[in-house]
Amino acid sequence: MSLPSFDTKTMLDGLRRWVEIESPTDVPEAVNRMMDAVEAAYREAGARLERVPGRDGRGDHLIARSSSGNAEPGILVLSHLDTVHPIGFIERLPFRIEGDIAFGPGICDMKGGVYIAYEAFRRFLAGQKSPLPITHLIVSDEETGSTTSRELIEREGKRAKYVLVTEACRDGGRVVTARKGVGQFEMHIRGVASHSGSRPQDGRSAVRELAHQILELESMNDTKTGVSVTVGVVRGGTRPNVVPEEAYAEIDMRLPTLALAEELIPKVLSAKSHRDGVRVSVAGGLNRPPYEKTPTIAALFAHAQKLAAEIGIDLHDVSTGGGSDGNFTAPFVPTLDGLGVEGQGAHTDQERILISSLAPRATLLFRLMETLR
Amino acid sequence: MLNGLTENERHVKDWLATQRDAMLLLLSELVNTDSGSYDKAGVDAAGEVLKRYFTAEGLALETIPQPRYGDQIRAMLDHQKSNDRRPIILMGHRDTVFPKGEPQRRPFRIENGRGYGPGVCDMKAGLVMNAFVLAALKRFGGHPGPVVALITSDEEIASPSSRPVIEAQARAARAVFNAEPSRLGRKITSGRKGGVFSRCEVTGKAAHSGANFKDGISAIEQLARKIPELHKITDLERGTTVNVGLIGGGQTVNTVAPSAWCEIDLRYVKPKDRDDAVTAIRKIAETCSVPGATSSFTIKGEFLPLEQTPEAKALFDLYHAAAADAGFSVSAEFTGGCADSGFTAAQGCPTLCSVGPVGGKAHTPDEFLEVDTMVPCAQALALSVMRLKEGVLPPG
Repeated sequence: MSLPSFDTKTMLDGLRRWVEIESPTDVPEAVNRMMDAVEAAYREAGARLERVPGRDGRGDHLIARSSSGNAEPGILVLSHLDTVHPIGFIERLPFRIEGDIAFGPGICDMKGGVYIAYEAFRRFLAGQKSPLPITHLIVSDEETGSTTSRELIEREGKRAKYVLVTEACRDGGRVVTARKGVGQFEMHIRGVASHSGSRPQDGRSAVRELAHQILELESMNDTKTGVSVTVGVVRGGTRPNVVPEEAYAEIDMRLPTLALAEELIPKVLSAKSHRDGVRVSVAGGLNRPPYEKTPTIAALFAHAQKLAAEIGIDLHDVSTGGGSDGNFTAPFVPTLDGLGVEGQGAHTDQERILISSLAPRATLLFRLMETLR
Repeated sequence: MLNGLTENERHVKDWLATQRDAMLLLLSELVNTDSGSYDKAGVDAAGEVLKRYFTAEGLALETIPQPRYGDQIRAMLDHQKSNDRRPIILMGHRDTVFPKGEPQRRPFRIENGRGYGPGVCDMKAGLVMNAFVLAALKRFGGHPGPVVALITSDEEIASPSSRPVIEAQARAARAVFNAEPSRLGRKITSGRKGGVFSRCEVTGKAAHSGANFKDGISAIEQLARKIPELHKITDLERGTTVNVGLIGGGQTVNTVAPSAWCEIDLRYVKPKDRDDAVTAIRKIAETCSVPGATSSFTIKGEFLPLEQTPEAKALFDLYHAAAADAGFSVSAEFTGGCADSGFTAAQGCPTLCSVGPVGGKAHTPDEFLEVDTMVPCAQALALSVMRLKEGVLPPG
């Protein structure tokens, strides 16, 4: 085993340059500036590049491939470079270092992870041998559900033998071997409007029906199976003195297994009104399929655990309720997630990473690329 | 007497008959002056339109200034010789429910005998009618005592600043005619429900719906538990209804909702039903069953019920006869809608509501006024005022 050296100072300087290019999902030109920087870095490293133009108000996606013309299934490294922070957030959360901690927008979610993957991958582009071809797919819209990149992720995922996702690792450096599936729905209710003073008996309240629907949705919460339902947004009615004709809800559902998804999603979609004259309609479905820890995923994790031990990391895994692009590939390709840097405060003004995690995590990715076959 | 009318009555009636175009001109100016309840400058500008008319007709004015909502205005016609110094009040509000800019989008227009525009029947036509009645009485006399046109500013939001003014005026008044529109079929109001308008705010705790679901406290779930309980207070036979008319809450689909709210509209018929219903609403609104959730309850506005007392019935009979002399037949019906007339009736002042020109579809873009009812309604009101002599109403 020949461990490469990853210089923390050099990586931190490189990461700083990426963090300082703000890239909120909904500002495609900003995301594209970020993609330009990564594209330039990979061009210099000798990767074969493909840039997929953005659409629907999202930025471009970038694919960097190892130069071997090998068509056999390889390793797909999956990343995103969009952030949730708006332009100008860097004034509030400038890149700064305090001891072993580096702050900055997107530094943990997930520019740090993209950067160490680039650092590991470029060694192979420079001549280091890997048994499998390597592809790094970097998308522009993960934070808003990967609506413009999902097809690309699935296409590249289906061509791969393994998928490594560079989302930040969880508390204690844990990698992710299972994520709940995410169902999202919009519920529209239409009743009958009437004046609440003069004609209350003529009205059929959409708000009242929505309350019943919410209570039924909430009753699907089950701590034993891990199913959770969140009615995240509601609104209804026009004026206090009008029996509401319309009401609306946005629903988020987390589903640990495909079996549970197949059982519960049809129930949500077929919600029935409790009262004549009131109509309930629900649109939506499984936005991200469940990412279950299959035996092949367990084996992939065991391999990573062994590699980690060699470099002094006691690696553990965890299951989480939050979705990632790993959900799209896990149903058909062994997928290991949470291979990015250690950090905290994602999506907040305290977003930060542990600087001392950069080198070991880059090494782990390097070793996975070097050993997966 | 000619045709059963006194000479004064005939002068007043005839003069009003010549004022149709002048009424529509003033109405047009008033409708086109934007006056949503929360737009003090606009409501005051609508007041200026009326003040100019009263001044031109030689009537005395008093303005009761208000810091937040529009000012209240009194236009006064005295009668030195009357023994009963209590004024007869012609009441109306000049605020509308519409958002700013509505008259620019939908200026006053007449089509097939109907007038359209924001507030055209609710109740700018009523204010114009009151103004012309006062002007007619100023010109020809015949009123049995002082007459006051009281023009309020915030009825559409339950009269927060006008209520004390209305109540004080009502305590000192002989009778009140409220110029809310009469309904199609020449129906005025025999009684109204009371209303209490309140808001409940629920606080939970935000958390990511995926990663930290268990840390969240859903304010939306708590609100959803309250809504069916609130609706259970409804008792249609008693005339008590609860409507959760507006709700909102949450941040994003994947965040457990940290806050949610609803607005509650209570209607009731009998004054004694109010407290029980409000107590029940307050208890539901303030009690939380989702662990960790908290909530608050606020009463935002209120109207009192209008009951048909014997004096109010006598006032209706007087108006019914006056309407016949103006050429139309009128009936009265109960409505669940609230108005300022509840406040005056609760002060013990004989009150007749909905004597304004006929209209409908109030609070909607289809709101209309039956233009040809402006003159007859003004005539019926003027004759009623002139005949409101001592002894006409039974002692209260």
